[in-house]
Amino acid sequence: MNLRDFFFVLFSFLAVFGAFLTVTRRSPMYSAMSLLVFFGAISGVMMILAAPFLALMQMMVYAGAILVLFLFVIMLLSLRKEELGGERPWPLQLLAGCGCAVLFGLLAVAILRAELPRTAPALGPEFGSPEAVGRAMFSEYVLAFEIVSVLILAATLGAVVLAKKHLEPPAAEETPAPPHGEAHH
Amino acid sequence: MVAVFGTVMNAVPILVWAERRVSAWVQDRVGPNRVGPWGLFQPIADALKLLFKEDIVPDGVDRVLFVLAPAFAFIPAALIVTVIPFGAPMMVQGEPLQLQVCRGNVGILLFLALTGLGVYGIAFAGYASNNKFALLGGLRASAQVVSYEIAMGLAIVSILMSSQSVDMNAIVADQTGTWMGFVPRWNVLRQPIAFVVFLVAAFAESNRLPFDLPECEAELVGGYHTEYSSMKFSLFFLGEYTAMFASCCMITTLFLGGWSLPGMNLASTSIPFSLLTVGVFFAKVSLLLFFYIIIRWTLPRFRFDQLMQLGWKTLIPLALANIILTGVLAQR
Repeated sequence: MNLRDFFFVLFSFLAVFGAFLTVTRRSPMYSAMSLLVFFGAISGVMMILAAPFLALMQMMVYAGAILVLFLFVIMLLSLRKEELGGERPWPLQLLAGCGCAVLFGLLAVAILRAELPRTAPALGPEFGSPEAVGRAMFSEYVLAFEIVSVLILAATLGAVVLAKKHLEPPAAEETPAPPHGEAHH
Repeated sequence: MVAVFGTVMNAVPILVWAERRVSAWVQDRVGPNRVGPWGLFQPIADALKLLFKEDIVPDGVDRVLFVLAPAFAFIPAALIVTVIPFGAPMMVQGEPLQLQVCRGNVGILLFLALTGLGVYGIAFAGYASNNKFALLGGLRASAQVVSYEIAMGLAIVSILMSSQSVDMNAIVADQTGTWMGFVPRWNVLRQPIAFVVFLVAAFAESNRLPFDLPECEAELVGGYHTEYSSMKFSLFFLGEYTAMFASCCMITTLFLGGWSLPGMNLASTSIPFSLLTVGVFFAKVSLLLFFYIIIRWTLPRFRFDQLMQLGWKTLIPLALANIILTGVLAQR
């Protein structure tokens, strides 16, 4: 086992460990921290698999922005222990367990039946670099890229509408409404 | 690598000393001048004092997060300096030696990823302290960093468009040369809008006045570090000054031509030349740091809604317009 394999295994274990902690922790803050561990580990795996651009995007977008918003909401609510609710009723637990088992089974079957290459494909030094990813995105996959942008626009509009739903029209208000910078996500 | 971290760890005490001396100068006071020549050894005395202070973990805090938070605040800031090219490559025993710890073509992205991580220390500290002032500080910090990170990223995009690379060395190389023989081709002159946006966002990201809302002593006692004492407190302190140093290094590299000066013979790879470029780099960084300190002692603090207005309604549209402008001009 060389150093590369060692780090691959290490990051993979960390990712599974982080994901496990994320769903099992009772405190939302610890869940968020475990999720951070998971993002970091996944990013490490991507780095080893010759995708530095993807790895850093993962850190920037998920760890740097999305999870910070999660934290923001967790702190804004700062729920106490009583408010988090106790154990869920057992039929729900059973249902969730069955769902997980089915999903795991499907994935396991898919992975076992897939034809995996025995040797790693030869990659040029340019593979996974920002230039290569950009070129592929704006030539071969430009249609998918543009469709995603429309999807994101729709989601943004939806978020703004939801956030503004309960506001009075500005003319009827005495004081100006607080800024809604967060709503733009 | 060791040299770079050594530099950072030494830069911070000098920076603290400079901050206090400059603030004294601005306010027409004397400032620390008792310990050593011009008070230069004052930071050593301060550090010793902090080390021997009692380390208190208050009752009712979330212990794990409370202890982890200072580390989260310091580590990302310290890692940023690894992507900075400090000087021209030098030939050592026939091999070119790059003066940059983390080489490769993703330098800027690493910088953006790490600045985004810096907020976790503050957010965890605010949450774990079980104190309303600390919590408000943490909340403000997370909102502020998320908002200004976007403006910062967009400012960088226009730089990447004009230099056509995300590699830090290529960005520096792109800024060498002159117009009309004496005007340097630095990005601060080619991309003035991006420079202003980046500068303001960098101030906000490092929680410096006029954007130090997360610790705002008039409203929030000490903000997120209200409950911290001793070395844990000083790690926050260290993290803040390291982030300031790192962002000055970044501004120098992106906008002020990095280690280059107009008129330098860039083909040279001798060791004295390389050391000279390192000197040039740190001279530029020192000027920027001086600017940071002067700003702190001359401007009042923003109100929080003003901060959000500035970030979302001024800086981001400005940066977007600049990207379009850059795209149009680059087409010609």
